[in-house]
Amino acid sequence: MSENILTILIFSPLVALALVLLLPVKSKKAFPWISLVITGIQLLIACSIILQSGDTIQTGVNVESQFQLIEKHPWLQLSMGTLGNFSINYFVGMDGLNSSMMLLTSIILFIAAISAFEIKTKTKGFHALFLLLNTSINGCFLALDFFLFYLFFEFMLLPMYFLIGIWGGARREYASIKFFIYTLAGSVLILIVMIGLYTSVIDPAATAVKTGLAQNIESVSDAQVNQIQEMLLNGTLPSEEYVRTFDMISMMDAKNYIPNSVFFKGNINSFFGENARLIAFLLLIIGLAIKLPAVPVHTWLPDAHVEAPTCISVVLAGILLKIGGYGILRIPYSIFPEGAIHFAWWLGLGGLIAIVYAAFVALGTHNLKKMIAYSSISHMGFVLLGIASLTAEGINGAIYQMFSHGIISGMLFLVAGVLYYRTKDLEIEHYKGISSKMPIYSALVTIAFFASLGLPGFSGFIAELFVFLGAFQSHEVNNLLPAWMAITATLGLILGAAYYLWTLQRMFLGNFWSRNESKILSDVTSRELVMLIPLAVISLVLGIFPKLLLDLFEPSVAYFVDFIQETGKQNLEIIFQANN
Amino acid sequence: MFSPVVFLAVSLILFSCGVTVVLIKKNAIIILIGIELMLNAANLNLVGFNQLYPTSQHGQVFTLFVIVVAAAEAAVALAIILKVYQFYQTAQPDDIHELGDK
Amino acid sequence: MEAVETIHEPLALTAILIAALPFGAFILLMFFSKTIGKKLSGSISTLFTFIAACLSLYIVVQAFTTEPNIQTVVQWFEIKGTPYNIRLFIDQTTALMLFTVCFVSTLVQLFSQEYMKEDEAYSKYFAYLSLFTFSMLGIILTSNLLIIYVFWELVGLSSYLLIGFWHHKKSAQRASKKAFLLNRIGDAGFLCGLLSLFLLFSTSDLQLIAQNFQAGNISAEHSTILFIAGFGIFCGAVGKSAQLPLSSWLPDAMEGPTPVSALIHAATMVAAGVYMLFRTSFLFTPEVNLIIAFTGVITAFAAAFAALTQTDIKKVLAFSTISQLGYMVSAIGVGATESAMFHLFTHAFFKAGLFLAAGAVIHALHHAAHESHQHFDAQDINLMGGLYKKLPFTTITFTLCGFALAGIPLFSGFLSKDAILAGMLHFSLHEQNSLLMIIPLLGFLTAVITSFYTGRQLIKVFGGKNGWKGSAEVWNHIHENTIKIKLPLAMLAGMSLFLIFSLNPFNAESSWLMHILGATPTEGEGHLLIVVISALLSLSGVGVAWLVYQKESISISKLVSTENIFYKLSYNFWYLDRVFDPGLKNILIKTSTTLAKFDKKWLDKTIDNFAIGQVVIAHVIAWVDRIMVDGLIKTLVWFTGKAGNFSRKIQGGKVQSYISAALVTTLLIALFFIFKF
Repeated sequence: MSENILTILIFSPLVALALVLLLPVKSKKAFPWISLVITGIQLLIACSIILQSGDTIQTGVNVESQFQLIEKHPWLQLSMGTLGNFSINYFVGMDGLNSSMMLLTSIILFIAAISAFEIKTKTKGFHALFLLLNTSINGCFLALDFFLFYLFFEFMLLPMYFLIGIWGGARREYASIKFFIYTLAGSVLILIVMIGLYTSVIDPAATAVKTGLAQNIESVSDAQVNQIQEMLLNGTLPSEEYVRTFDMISMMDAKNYIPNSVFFKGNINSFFGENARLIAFLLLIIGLAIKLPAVPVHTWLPDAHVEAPTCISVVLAGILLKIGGYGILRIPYSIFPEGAIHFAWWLGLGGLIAIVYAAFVALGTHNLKKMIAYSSISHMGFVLLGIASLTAEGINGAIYQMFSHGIISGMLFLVAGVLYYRTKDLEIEHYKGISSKMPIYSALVTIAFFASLGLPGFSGFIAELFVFLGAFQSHEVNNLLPAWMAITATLGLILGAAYYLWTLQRMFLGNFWSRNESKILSDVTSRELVMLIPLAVISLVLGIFPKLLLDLFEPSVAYFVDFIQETGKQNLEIIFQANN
Repeated sequence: MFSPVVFLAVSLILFSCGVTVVLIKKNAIIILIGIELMLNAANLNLVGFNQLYPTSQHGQVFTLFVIVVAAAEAAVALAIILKVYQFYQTAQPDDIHELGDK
Repeated sequence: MEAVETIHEPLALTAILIAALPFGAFILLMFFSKTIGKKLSGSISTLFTFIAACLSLYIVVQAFTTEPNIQTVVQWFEIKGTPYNIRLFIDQTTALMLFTVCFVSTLVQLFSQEYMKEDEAYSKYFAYLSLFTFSMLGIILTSNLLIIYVFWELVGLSSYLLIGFWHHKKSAQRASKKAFLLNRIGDAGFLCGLLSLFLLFSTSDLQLIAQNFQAGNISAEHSTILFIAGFGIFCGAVGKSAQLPLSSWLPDAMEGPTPVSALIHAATMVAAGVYMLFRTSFLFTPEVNLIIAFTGVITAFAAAFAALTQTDIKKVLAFSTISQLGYMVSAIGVGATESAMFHLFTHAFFKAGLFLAAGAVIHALHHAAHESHQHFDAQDINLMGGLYKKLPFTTITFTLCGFALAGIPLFSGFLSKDAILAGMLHFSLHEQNSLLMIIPLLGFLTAVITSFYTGRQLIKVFGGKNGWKGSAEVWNHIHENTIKIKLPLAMLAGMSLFLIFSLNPFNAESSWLMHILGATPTEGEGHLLIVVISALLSLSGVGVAWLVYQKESISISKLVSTENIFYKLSYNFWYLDRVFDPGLKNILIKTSTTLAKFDKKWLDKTIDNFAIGQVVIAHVIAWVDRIMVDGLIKTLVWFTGKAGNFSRKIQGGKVQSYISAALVTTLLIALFFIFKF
């Protein structure tokens, strides 16, 4: 296994991008194949990484040596006199939290590349943007340097804006600009915190090198790191020697914070009465919650999903939403764990509201794709509820739900796409009895719907079960979420069954009638089958053998939960002491 | 013979007349005449001062120069006025104000 | 998944094989039906289930002779050190349930081969039936509530597929959706109960929970959680076993084919609720038990009352099923759990027999109508009568099973119902609260009503004073059914007699089954009285029915009129359905449309207004920029211009003014120099 496999995984689409840009527009047929081949290669790489690391995926989280496939190279180093030194690294690595997301990304992008064959206009531009999107998403999940993460995070927005805005449906311009600006607004909040963190955190290893304590980065020992940290705390480290960094792992260690900086724990600083660290947590949560999306900052999603072309909807629902969930675990939870404990009740409430509210709205929509979009919001509510509970089951359930939902919503949007491709009309009332014309398609739709509503045997059930377990046990184990939240969330199960079965009955059963008499409804083609069946199989397999997926992140999550609880409680004490 | 003061007084009167003519008259030729008047006044002045230094002839030589230059200048000026008249069909400087602000 | 511990491995493997056989049939018939062909699919499915039944019989024998407990535990996954295991557990009761399910399923499939042979989706039907059998066996074989929940939902899925089998009929679509949704509501409660158990015991394995529970590890502050656990599990049973208030899906489920009703909605799936209550009854607090007892007996009464006026041959049986399930549930609540299971077993056989017999009648009448080219509602009992002449075999089997339902002595139903009634009476006498007497009171009342409506149905379909009420041509074409229909009927009717269950036809306690289930002999004083009373009640019920419908010596025309309030209440099942549709359904739809509108018009509009606001602010700022900031510059420029204008005037273009200006200036400079010195 090459040392740089992660870099290859992230940047190989750029090579394909160059190829796409060089080829003339005339070779329309080649572009989808290029995308397909490169995503196929990425899928193989991802699978081989997972298979090879298999049982030994390490916990990571906040210990750099516990990450796998690390690549850390200095990227920008500037010396700025008394202000210290500016340092950005290229730092990617894999641990339990992002291994499953990396796998999901490869699977969904591959499926989306198959689906992209149906794009017939301006294919060169489409696939160029698609490959750019590919790089950004992979990079976002694997980046461990905050600046790098933010870079990829922002970079995803650009191709999405064009992809929705040019190849989308009737209201595509509105949807794309809404998506772009809304998400950008969230990212600005993240940027604020990022800058604040940057001014507060040093990289002890690089500082050791700078002060001459160690020869070079590789030879820095733990003792030297501790020495630097002590010097920092005592104030004996001169400020020219500070090497500030965006390294997320350094941010998770309390001893790396410069005393009297914005985010130092002992700070009496407060903004509007709340400690700066808690405010930072909130800002990060809001920024990432827009991506998740959480109610009430979710309204960009229905428009973006309905107007986007099918393959982009698949990517949007399958992966982009998960960046929000993964981001919440990686950034605010790991860096400001006291916020996780302090605001758990509110986050849990947010998750609960998302589950129930979105399910109700899904019941009341008339457009198939919009209904699926709202069901996505409802499922991501489960993720938020699971994360808020801060129990091992809850967070395992959240990550499992992210993976499972990625697969299942991919299937759902593909299924909607099959119909859209034929008739360009997705109003539920315009169809009756499709099963008599398209029996195989109806069977697949039934499987997709039942998988999504959480029928046992599919991965969605396992995920929701874990989230329920975690949320319910939370009031006993760590006293964060009350038991009624989990009980009320079961309403989501009933409503989910209601809107899916109702749609199934209205659109698929009975005698055939369609508003678009002229359009022919042919049954699924082999290309569509090739996309849908693997997803269904994955969902089924993960529903019966959850251990296969759990092995990827369960050890990490166990460690993560302990780490957050401990550090969070300590920090909360320090904060409230400092403020008294 | 006379005291220089007389010369000065006469040249002053002549000069003032010349200035008045230059400033007030509306015909270019008359303005020329005024200029000649001023020049002659200056000549008188020169001769008059020369009286104070009988041994040198600077004043009178200077006067000769002035006369020559005045003649040349009058010729050039007349030529210009002729040309201007040919172009503008008027000899009144007031009517020629193209370089002025509208 | 590796096995953690196993007891009696070969038998455990046999048990897994029993479950795997129907699943294999399901896979074969779903994906390879074209190669297998229509005729063979039914036979394959039946054969697989028959083999499973034989194997389960073997297990029964083993469980009764040598190995009372067969177990194996497999680890499914692990979270932070807490293992989540699947335990296969078979004791004698489980073995008997296994056999019952396989046996009834085989008989139903045999019946279906004839009943459904003209249906296009024949293979799919058997595939779904096999899926159901597999799921049901899954519920029985495992002792983890979590895994039971998994199979519970799968059983719900099979039920959805089978009720909506004839999905071109709108009523069937609605019925299947209703069944799934109402079950889901119950399942949500079940899930809450499950979560509570996980909280209390860190496992859902009933064996481990029982050990823990006996050890008395529950602290006082967990009493609410324990209540939620019990109540939640009961919710699941309310959904699955169609108790009030979630009963209305069962009568509608009659839209499915009759054999499906026999298997799922009489014998097995609905019994799963009771079975689960039996297994978890040790967890229930007294409050939960009280709720269970009252819900059960009120359901029993309400459903029996509704069955009095039904005119569809299957609906009578559906309501009767709800009623009998109410008995079983109530028996659990009063503590007579063994009687509940006993009744479950007897009910499985005689109710399946009743449904299949009804199916035989419907099938015969359908054929007759088809052959005589007449339109005829084969399910309306008001059009039937005197069928004993044309369908004697069916009449006999229907009557035998019917008598068991009514609780006539010498039949199995009498024994089990008697046990339940005894249990109810015992419970209410033991507790000091006289309000509890309602339970046995309603129980006895329901018994009378049960026998009455059974008699009514029997007479209306097969007897009657005036015989056949339909058309004559149809009558001429009616003939008995084939062996594939007759054999299951015969076997089930045989199981309705007392002999299989007890050598003493009058005392349930002597039954070997009760003994297995764990009954302890109670004091015998009031028992004889109960036996006599219940025998009298059932006989009188049938007798009154005879008088009303056969002899027609008692006129009930005033009661039967559609204006009568009792008639209306009965016929419409207490208008319970209105609570859901339109009641709850309207609320749900209104809430969702309101929220959808709110989301679009308010939430979204806020964002849009935000954006519009931004544009407005941008315009304002542009105005400020244009008028004020730029205005400042413009003013400066104006001043400069005016000054320039003014200065420009000096350049008049007039030569003489230039000269005068030069002169004056020279003069001034000269004066300045003169006066400076």
